[in-house]
Amino acid sequence: MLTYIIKRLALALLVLVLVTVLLVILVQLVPGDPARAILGNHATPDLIAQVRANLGLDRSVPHQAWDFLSHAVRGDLGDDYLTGQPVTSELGASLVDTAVLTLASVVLALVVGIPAGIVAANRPGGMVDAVIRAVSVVLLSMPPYVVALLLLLWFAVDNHVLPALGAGDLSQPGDYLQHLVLPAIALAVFWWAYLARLVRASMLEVLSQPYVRTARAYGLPPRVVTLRVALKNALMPVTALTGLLLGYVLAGTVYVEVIFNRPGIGSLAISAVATRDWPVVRAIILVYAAAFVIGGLLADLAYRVLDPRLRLEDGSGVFV
Amino acid sequence: MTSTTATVDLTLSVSDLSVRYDSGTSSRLALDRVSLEIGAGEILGIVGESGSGKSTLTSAITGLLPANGQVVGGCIRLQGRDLGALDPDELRSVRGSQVAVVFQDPTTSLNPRLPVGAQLEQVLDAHGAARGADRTSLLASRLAEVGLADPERALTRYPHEFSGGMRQRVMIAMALLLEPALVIADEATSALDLTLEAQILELLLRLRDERGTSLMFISHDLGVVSQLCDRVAVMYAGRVIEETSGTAVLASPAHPYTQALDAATPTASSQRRRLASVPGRMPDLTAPATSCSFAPRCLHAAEVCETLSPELLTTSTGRARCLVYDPEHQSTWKREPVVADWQPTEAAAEPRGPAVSSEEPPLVLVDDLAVHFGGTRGRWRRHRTTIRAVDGVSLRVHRGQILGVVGESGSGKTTLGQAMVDLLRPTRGSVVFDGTATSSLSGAARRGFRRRVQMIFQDAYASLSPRMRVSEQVTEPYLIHRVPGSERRSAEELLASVNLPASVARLVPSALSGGQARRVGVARALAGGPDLIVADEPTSGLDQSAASAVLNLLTDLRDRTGVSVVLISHSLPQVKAVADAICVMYFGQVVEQGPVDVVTRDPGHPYTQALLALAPDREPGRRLARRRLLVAGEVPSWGDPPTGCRFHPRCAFARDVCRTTTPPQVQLSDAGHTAACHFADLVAAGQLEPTRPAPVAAGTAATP
Repeated sequence: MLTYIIKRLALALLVLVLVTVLLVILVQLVPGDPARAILGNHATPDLIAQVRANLGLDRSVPHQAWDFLSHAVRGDLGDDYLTGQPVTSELGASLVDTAVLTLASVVLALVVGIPAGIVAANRPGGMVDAVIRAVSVVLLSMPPYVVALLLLLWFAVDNHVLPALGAGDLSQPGDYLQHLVLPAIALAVFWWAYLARLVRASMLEVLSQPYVRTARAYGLPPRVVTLRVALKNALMPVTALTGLLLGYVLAGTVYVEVIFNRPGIGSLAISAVATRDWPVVRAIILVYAAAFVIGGLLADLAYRVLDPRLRLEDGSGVFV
Repeated sequence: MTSTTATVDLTLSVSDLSVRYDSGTSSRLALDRVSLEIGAGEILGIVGESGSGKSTLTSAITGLLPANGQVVGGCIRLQGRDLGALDPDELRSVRGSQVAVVFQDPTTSLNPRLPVGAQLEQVLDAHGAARGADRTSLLASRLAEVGLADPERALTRYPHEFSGGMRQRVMIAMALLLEPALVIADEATSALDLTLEAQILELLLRLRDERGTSLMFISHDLGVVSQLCDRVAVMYAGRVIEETSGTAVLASPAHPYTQALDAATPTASSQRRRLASVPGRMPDLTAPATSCSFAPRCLHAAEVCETLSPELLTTSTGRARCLVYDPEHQSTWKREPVVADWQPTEAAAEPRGPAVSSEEPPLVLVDDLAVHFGGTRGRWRRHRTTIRAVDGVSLRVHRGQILGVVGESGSGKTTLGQAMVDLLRPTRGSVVFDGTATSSLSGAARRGFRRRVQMIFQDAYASLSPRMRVSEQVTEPYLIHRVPGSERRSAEELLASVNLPASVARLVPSALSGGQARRVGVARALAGGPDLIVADEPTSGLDQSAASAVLNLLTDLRDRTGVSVVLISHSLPQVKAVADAICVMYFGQVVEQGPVDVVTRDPGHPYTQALLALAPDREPGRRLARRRLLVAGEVPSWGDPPTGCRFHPRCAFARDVCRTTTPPQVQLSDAGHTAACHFADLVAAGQLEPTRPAPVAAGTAATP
């Protein structure tokens, strides 16, 4: 188990290193020059060259990549081109808001999506199943930003039930939570539908397995059969997805933060792209990549913990 | 035997039970007025082919019919209590505590994510058993009772950590947990190897004798049922068509259908003869039968069979649903039907196959072949155990010969077959086909080899493409090998050569029955006009009658075209019935080989002897008398292979030399009969005494 974790961690690090190298190269392909963005349209070529030299943009691509990497491992992601502040400190403040939003959405997605799937699988072809299926299709086919806008219009603009814009203040938990509700739902609805479909299919497959028949034949109560025997096995594919979910939801925060005008790394990324503030963009994309990698890693480890068959180091350890 | 009023003495009484499945517009009557009784401590066998309704019976008794199935008549009484009158919660409390089921496949019937102990505890919880410290000791004692060594440790293990036989023992321990009055074994031994099956049967017998538990033993295997059961009910198309004793069902069955099943069962005495095969398929009933449902397939059917539905009529050994036994219609038939009526009428005694001359070079020469998997080569898989699936096998296949390769799961027989057709690379040794080593083939020569050697894979459906029509699949080899048009045969011709109607050509595989799919596989193998066919378990998953048809087909093809056949099988009686030569494998090695008559008459290896002893026997009691030859334990693990003779931990005759020294291949006759046993001569002469005491023969299968 330990060697497995170490092996997986090493792989995860390798992925992150490759992402950073790729980022440095990709930036070269984007039109626009940060120096010109800083100095404005009337800058002289001399001045631009000087700023470029200050920012290290005149060096070769491998050199830039190495620079970024060698600083990154020491926790230094560079300085903001515009403000001159270290990127890490700028990111830190926004990251909290985004992380809270992401986690809230993931939890919301799981808490609603999984039970919906279980209920639907309980009586396939029944009324409840049909309703959940119909709602799922609608939600899956609606672009997420439309959902966000609709929520904003209904709950905040027309009915004033919940605040529309901003993230509130973390020091006032009630207010902060109120601001969190709409964005979190906007991000979660797609996954409600997706998870409901996934869990339903997975449950139906497991319910037809011989060991579920065994459980019934030995008089286990229906609740135990569904929740303790079937669900435990049916959640395996969901576990794998939940890892990726973390990354997908985090990426989704970009438009939700823009629509709800929330501070966070999503809205930060948008403005940084506009000003060609590469260190900030790079750092944010690195965070996204890390989220995917960590999510995948957690899912793999969860698999090992949940499925005893994967724990067997080699096939010969049969107990007789 | 059956009375209409249930008495309290009976553990189970089923009377006039009918069950119907509705699906959309159609409905099917799975059980049609079935009546059964099981007394205390009695073992009732239920025999029938797939579709006979025997599994529906289990579901109906446990109240677990699928949503589209419903009881439409009759009643089930368990110890006098009408199960139909119980509400769902009361019924739930009956399941597991008063009636428990042992299912077919122990690998899938246990929850893979829960330790065995926790699963047993779930059953205790479900029936409100008190929690406490003595729980563990209760569970451990149950596991010990079914023969698990170190039961405390076993409780903490997951199902995948047990071997197949041990898993089934865990399943049986679960069944016995709350001391139910009735245990239903639903094909409980069908997924197990012959030696494990014998152990489980032994266990079931012992438990019945010690605890007085009633047992309903459901199986498609007439041989197993006759060995174990006190009484037997034979089912056909949802009805009980014969009730008889366990010994009589194989020795003197009364109903023509039972006789046909009997004739199709290869036994120790059936040798080099065609096996009986009943044409046609079991009908699906939509309404209660008004005529004999077996009549369309019956040899003895008369006009009256089409119009009257017979009652269970008294025969000399029990009761049968056949008008032959009706005094009113006695004049219709000259005599009572017998098993021999179904035996194909060909000169059975005449030895078939070519006279093998030792001068003629063999078609296939396998020399010291070894195929190993895993091992220390890869850097990432350092800790993997080397699986020596085939480890030093030498054999030869002559032209026009049928060679039977027999072994249990894990013996390496499939690996050997795949290496023979060059699907696997040998780790050591060689396969020489028609004078050329397969490893030296390349390019055109290899394509030619592929055309001349065909493999029929074990899973008939999975080895056919689900989206291609049968006609395209059987002629596909022509495209692959670019066979000129003049040498091609039409799909219809190919199908006709495997006794399939031309109409099959238009079908896709999912529309075929198991037997048909199997024959399509054979037809495809025949397309290129092969010299060698390697058939891997060609009868697995087939009912006895369909299996016989496939085996007959292979012998016919050999007789007609002179093709050589390597028949890989786990069933020694089956191989004995059709093969010319036999090769018995155990744990990657050949333990005995030679001409089939010689090997089966004077087996020189204890393993062969045990396999022969486990074959069904028509003579009552014979099989039980031979139980001292039971093979103990299970196939060892590759992580820790036995020293000396690889069979010694399971051998009833093992002596000190067996534990230390690898036995040589002992030549037993000039006909090429060899056995890898230190005492082969003595074993063959029947003069070696077992070193292990015979298993406690607790009770017999005779009618009490």
